[in-house]
Amino acid sequence: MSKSVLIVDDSSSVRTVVGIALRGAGYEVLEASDGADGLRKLDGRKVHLIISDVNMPGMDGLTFLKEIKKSATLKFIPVMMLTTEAGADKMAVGKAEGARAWMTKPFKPEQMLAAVQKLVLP
Amino acid sequence: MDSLARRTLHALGWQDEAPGSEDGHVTSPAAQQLSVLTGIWARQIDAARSHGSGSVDKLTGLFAGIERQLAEAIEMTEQAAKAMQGSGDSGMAGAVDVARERLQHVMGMIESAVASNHALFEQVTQAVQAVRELNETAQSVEKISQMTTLLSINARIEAARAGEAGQGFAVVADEVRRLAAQSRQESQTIMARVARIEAVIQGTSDAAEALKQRDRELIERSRSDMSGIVDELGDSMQRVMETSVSLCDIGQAARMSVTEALIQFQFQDRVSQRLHHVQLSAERLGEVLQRDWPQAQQVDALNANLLSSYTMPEEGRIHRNEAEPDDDSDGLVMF
Amino acid sequence: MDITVPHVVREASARGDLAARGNPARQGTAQYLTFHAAQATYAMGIGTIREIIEYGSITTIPLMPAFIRGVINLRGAVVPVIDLAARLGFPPAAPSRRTCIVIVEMGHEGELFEMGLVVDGVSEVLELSPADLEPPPTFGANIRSDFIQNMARIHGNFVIVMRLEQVLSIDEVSHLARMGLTTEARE
Repeated sequence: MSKSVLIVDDSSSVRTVVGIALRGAGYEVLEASDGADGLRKLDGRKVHLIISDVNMPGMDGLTFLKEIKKSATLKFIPVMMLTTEAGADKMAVGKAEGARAWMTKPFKPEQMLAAVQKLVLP
Repeated sequence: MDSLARRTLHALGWQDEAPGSEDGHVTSPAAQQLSVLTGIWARQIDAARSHGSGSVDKLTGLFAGIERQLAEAIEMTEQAAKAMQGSGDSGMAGAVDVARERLQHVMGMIESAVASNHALFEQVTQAVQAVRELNETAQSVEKISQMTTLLSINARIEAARAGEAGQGFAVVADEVRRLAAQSRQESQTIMARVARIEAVIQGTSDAAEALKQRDRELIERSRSDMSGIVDELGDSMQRVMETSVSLCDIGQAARMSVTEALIQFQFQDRVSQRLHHVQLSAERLGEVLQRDWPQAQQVDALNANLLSSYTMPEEGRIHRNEAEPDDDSDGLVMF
Repeated sequence: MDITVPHVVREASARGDLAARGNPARQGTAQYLTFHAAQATYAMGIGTIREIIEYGSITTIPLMPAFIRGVINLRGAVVPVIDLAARLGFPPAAPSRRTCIVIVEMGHEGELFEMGLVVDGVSEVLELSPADLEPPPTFGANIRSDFIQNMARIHGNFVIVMRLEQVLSIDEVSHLARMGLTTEARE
């Protein structure tokens, strides 16, 4: 059984690119366009990793992260932020709220996959 | 001043009402026009942004499709190559080996059939030889009987001269002659029969010889034809396998190109955001200009606002007109 | 061939041949040899026959008439050989397996000379009584009348009995030889 990863980003092309990289490495990929959509997709499904954008309309990434960490069932899922944001303050918030990694776009697929491999739930 | 402008000024930390707003201050026409212009800037930028986004999204979708198809094609090619390569009885290479083996087997059978034909031919030749010897024997018998006849007649003549004394001898001589005549009859019959047998055997022998020759030619042609076909099959398969390996390589390379292209498309996101920041700044300027030419503090505020809207370090650097650092990337930070 | 004399004699006795031969001096009987020449069967008395030998080793003599085949060496003696078919006016005999030379003794001016006669084959020696013989036909025979002694009834057929003294007349033969001509002996 292959592991599944949820990718949350409002840009479909980003979701596509990340999806290609992950599927090529043998992961199953779920997509959501913002935080709320992400929470809906997580309902009743087990994922082994979440990758989320920060700047999204609707529920943004950091809020989404907070919601995840509040949930008893979801808080153990590792979350990686994938964003254009390189600001240290946002990064600090992410770290404080429990994100496991902060990746800026554009990402190098090998780098991302290495991080995914390290972080993904066994 | 419209409500949007008022709200904006309020948000900028200005007084609720800008000086000269409702006391009959006449807004500068140039400022008004510039406001319109900045509005246009904002709209154009917005259009370009969404246009670009839309195009890039479409392109990404298309490339994703290509990538999927490539993946499929590579998968199928690999499977086909595996099928061909398969060892033992599975796979076409194995099938060619089996075909070759069967060919050998069939050739072996044909050769043993031909060999037994040859054995038959040998036997026929020997039969012909035996018949010839029989013929010679029959002829010898005939010759002997002829000589015996002469002998007996000569004896008879001698016996006649001898008169009475030769009586018994004359009888013997006659018997000898009679027996000689009989044996000559026999030997003639034998010779006739032998001649018939010889004719038949010779005919068979000739046919066998002709057959032998034709067999030999047929075998040679069959062997070279079949060998040629099997070899050609082997060559074709070899070429197909080489082609499929090349296809795989090409496919993989193409796939990597596509993935690379898709990564480049990530920049669209950054471009979109940067344009958005500029667009917002233009809109704000437009609102300010709606009222009047901005004061220095207003312009500073706009500037600071733009600066604070940045999400990427790059934007800050360009704003401050700083040089690009050598290596921009180290995009991953683990917590 | 395994021939036991007593066995053969017993059988011949059973056939009555022995009785017939009982008296060699029986009135008028004589022994004749039947033979073939020029596709016909003839007979001759055995009185002059010395022996019969196989055909072969004839030394040809040039400029002789066709009926003189040549000479043979018979135990040291030189014996002329005559082709009977040619002598009778027929085409010369083509030698076959059964061709023989009958060696005969002819008298001439008080001496005996041996001559060979080439025939196409010899059949048997048999005894004929005067009852079996008839005078020669006045016409219709296709050989010279002076060559015919009489006609013999043998095995139901008539066979010409040859007058050998005429066929092998030394006068005539040597005359012809000296002439160096081939002769058509037919009349």
